[in-house]
Amino acid sequence: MQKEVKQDPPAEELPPQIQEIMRNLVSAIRAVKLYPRNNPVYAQSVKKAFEPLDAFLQTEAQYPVGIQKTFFAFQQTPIGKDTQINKTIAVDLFNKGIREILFLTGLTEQEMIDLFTALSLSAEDIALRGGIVSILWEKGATHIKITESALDDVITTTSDEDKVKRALAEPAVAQLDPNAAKEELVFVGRTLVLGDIVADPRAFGATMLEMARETAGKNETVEDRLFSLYQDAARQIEEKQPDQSEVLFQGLAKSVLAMEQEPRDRFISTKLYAELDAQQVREQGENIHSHVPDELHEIVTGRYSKEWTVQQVSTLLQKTAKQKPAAVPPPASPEKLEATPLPPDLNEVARALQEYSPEELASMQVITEAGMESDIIEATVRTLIFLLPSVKRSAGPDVTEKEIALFSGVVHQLEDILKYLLKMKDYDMATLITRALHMPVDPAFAPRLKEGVRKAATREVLKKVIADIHASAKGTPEYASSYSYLSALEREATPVLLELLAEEKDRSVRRYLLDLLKDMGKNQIEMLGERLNDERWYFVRNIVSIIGESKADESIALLEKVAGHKNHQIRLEVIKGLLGIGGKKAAALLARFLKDSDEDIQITAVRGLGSIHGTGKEELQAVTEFVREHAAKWKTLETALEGIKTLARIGDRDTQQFLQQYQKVRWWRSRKPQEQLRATSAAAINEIQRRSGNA
Amino acid sequence: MPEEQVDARGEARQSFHAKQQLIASAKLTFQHLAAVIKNVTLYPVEHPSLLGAAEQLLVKIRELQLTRKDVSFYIVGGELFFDAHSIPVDQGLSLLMEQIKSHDVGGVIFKTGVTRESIVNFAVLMNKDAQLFSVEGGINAVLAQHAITHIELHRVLLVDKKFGNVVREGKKRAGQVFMDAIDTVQDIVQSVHLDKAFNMKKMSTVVHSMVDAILEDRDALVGLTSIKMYDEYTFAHSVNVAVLSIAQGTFLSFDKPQIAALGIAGMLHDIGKVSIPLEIINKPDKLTDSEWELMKRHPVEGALLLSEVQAMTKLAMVVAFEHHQHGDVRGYPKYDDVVQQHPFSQIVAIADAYDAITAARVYYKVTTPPDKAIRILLSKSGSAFNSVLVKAFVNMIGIFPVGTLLKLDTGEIGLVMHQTRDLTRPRVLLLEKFDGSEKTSGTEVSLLEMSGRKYIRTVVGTIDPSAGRINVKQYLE
Repeated sequence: MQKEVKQDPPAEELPPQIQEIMRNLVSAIRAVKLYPRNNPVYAQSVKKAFEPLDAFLQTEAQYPVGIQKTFFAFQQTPIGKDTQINKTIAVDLFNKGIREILFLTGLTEQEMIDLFTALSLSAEDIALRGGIVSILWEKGATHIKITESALDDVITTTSDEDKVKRALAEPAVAQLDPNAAKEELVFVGRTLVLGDIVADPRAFGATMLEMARETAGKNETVEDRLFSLYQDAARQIEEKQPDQSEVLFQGLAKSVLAMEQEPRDRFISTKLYAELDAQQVREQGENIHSHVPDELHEIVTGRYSKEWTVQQVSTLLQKTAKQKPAAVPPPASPEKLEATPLPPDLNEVARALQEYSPEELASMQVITEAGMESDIIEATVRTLIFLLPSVKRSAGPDVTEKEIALFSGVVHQLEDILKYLLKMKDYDMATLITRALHMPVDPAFAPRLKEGVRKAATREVLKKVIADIHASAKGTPEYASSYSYLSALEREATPVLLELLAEEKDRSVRRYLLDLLKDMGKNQIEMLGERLNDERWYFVRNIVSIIGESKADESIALLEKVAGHKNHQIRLEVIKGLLGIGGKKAAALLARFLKDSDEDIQITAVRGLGSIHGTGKEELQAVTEFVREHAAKWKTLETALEGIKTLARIGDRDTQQFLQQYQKVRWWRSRKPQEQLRATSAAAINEIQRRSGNA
Repeated sequence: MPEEQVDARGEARQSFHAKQQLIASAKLTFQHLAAVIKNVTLYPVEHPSLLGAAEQLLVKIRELQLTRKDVSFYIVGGELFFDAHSIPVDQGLSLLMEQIKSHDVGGVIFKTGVTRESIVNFAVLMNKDAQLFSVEGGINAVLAQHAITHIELHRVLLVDKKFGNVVREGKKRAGQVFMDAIDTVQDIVQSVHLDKAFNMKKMSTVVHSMVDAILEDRDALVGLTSIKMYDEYTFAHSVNVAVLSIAQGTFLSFDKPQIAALGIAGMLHDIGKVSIPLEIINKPDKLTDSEWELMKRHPVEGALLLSEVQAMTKLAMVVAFEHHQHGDVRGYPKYDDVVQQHPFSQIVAIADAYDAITAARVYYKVTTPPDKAIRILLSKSGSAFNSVLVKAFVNMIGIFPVGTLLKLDTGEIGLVMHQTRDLTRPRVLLLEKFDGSEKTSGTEVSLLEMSGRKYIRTVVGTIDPSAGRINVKQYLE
């Protein structure tokens, strides 16, 4: 602990050499913090600090630097208290929990640099690395000793007297029969009354302890003796007052719990529980090592608490009554000690153990590389992911506040690691985390996971991921790795990608983003459908394009929603989508575009009807009507001709007859368009005939 | 050897593989020295065979000098050391060691600049009467008289004294470190009970001390794990596992930060048990199946607890979670995916199992001789535990671990104090009175010591200290 500093003692009292060392040290701490290693100021400051200190340590064993809230001190005398630089550095070091730095003889310049470098870290970094002491220890800096705050935190616990009072206050299970109370317990050299066990267990326990101390044999501990005495008492209760045993054992337990802390704790743990454990092993048979660590050992090593209840101690005491009194083993003497002979093959086993095969050495090499960043992260992520579904302790529907807090803590850890992994572009591990964030959990935990997913898929994160995907060639591991991250977040990534696509100016990037979206979005049709009402036509067009490409069942219904969109580009995109999807429903919807106000769309639609699978009589009828209508006016002749070409592909005998009307050339009408009509329809008739013939 | 052993910290920076290679190289160098000393008796000093052998030795010395200034061999208690490493010796090398010791020499140091001529002269000298070395001015004065430069000799007594000091200091320090560690575990458990933050700085400081103590004298701290204090065993078990894991880490030549992380992980591996309801943990009866299932949640509870601790090595959480996920069917917690335990979890699992086996003798009166404990571990090797790590663990702890009572063929009883390079021949303290007085006045001998071509003492059996009420603790603290 840092000692009290003298009240404003003049620094001048200290020799100039000490003051100079302190000044140089503070300057060097500052320089290392401010300048990079290759800056001359850095090297000069360290040298200037080291040399006089080194000279000082040639004659003195140590140079202590005390750190107070706002100033430095040498052996409790402040130095440079009014200097601003000192104040800033002192405040910084104090806030980092450093209370004293002790430089010892043998200090090297490197150790000093290691210290200053460690001091220049942020408080968080220092904390993360286990404190300055840890950092220096890892560097092997043995000539600097640091005193940090919080090394001697005092943990206050319930006082032992409170525990005793609690035990004694426990209500009796029954009233002791007055006659039984007069019964005597006879021990070697002492007689106690049964009633005292219930009436004054504290006094009874003290008497038992006193007896144990007085009568313990040479090779017996007080606990051994206490055990014998309580075992005797327990047996006498069982024999003399079996009907009153419950209340008497309760009193006996209280007498144990009211004893002096140390012998009581030792008695309960090393005797009462030890006998219970040994008894369990005897019941199990000695095959205890079939599984190591054995189950009993797991329990024994979990008995961290010494908060025993009256009921527990009472049960333990009752069990002792049933055991045979243990014989105290004789003292050791070389002649009497029996040895277990060594197995004959022991030397052979030892020889085999001492030689390592090349494979074993190689495997050892791999093991000794453990504990590095990559395997720590991998193991941590794996563990945290396993913990997610394990937070909830019970199978029931209730989730406690504590469980929610723990779950949130685990997710928080994963978020932190994810942030780091994304910074390092380790998408494989990052993908593991994002997949885990999508796991099904109790509804009470779901919002926290959702929040985690949201953080994993922010616009900024996704932009970087997309840039990395774009930067790597398709088919490479880097591409696959970064793409897998995006895929794991497709639901969250799709809207962001849509926005990015809408904002992107570069055509090639747009094309690239659209391709990505088509892949991502194919499983997100429903969500995409919800965005078809967006005001930006290009935004809607992109969605339509993705829906069209998806070929999902619900796609046509969604395309129908925008089939009448005022923007013709969107309508064109719908037609493209329908053509890609195909089938009866698509053909039917496509036929509706024959009545579109835009001629280009009509032409695209009529052409599409010639190529789409799934056209039926209705569509044929619609195209026939379309041709009839447009062939009537020379202005729409080109459109009619496109219709006839479609009829050639989908028409039947009735269509042939319909087309016959265009074989005649009327003298009162313009010749050229009629000939165009005749030629196209003749070709169509032939084509229909050819198809009918083939059929 | 003693100085090097004190600076054994460097050991942790060498990889296990490199260490094995170094041991092999040192052995070869010593074999070349044996060849030169032998050849002197067969050939005149100018003979090409002798000069060739000296040249070969010189080459090996220079190879070793690439990474160190001095090439030092020490003979302590019948054991040959190079740096801090025990070198396995065969019959031929044992004879040379005896020959060197007969000249009252316990250490031979080849310094930079040593020549072929010096080596030959030294070999000649070693074949002369031992009386030659008892001159005034010390053995190095004899070397100077014979124009032997850049070779330095240490007397047996000096080497043994220095070695003894190191061991005594190590023990004293180890005892303090061990108790500090128990105190720290108690504090941590209290913190958890009271829902307070861990004092990570205190924890780190203690673990650093443990690592330093083990790097200085592994056997001193490892020996303390053999003392099972029932009243504090719950806490001591955590410390034992930490000590054994750190010792394994140093044996495998992990880096210091890795070893520290391993120590923290070992110390906190069972911390999840603090979250198990007291009525289960302190139940004065056998647990029901459902209670046992709850008990088996402690790895999850531990990991959850540690996941929240700021500045805690993440590996502590991983190890707490994985230390029961053995390769066998009884591992838990169970998951559909087959997951390879992290090496740190494997190391801690072995330490945990070993401590459980050896504790059974004390707590459940299940007599398991030390060699049987090793056999139990070996029987699980490859299934529950990583076979290579089990092998390394046994090599580290020995077949007769520190604290084992041995019956010797001389009728004497020895308490194992240190391991040697021979798993069946440790250094033992000879016990006669069993009252602890031997700790200061007793004789410590190595079972590697030979007389003629025979070992002076050999183990014939093991003794259960509890059977004779022998307080082993008084010798190890």
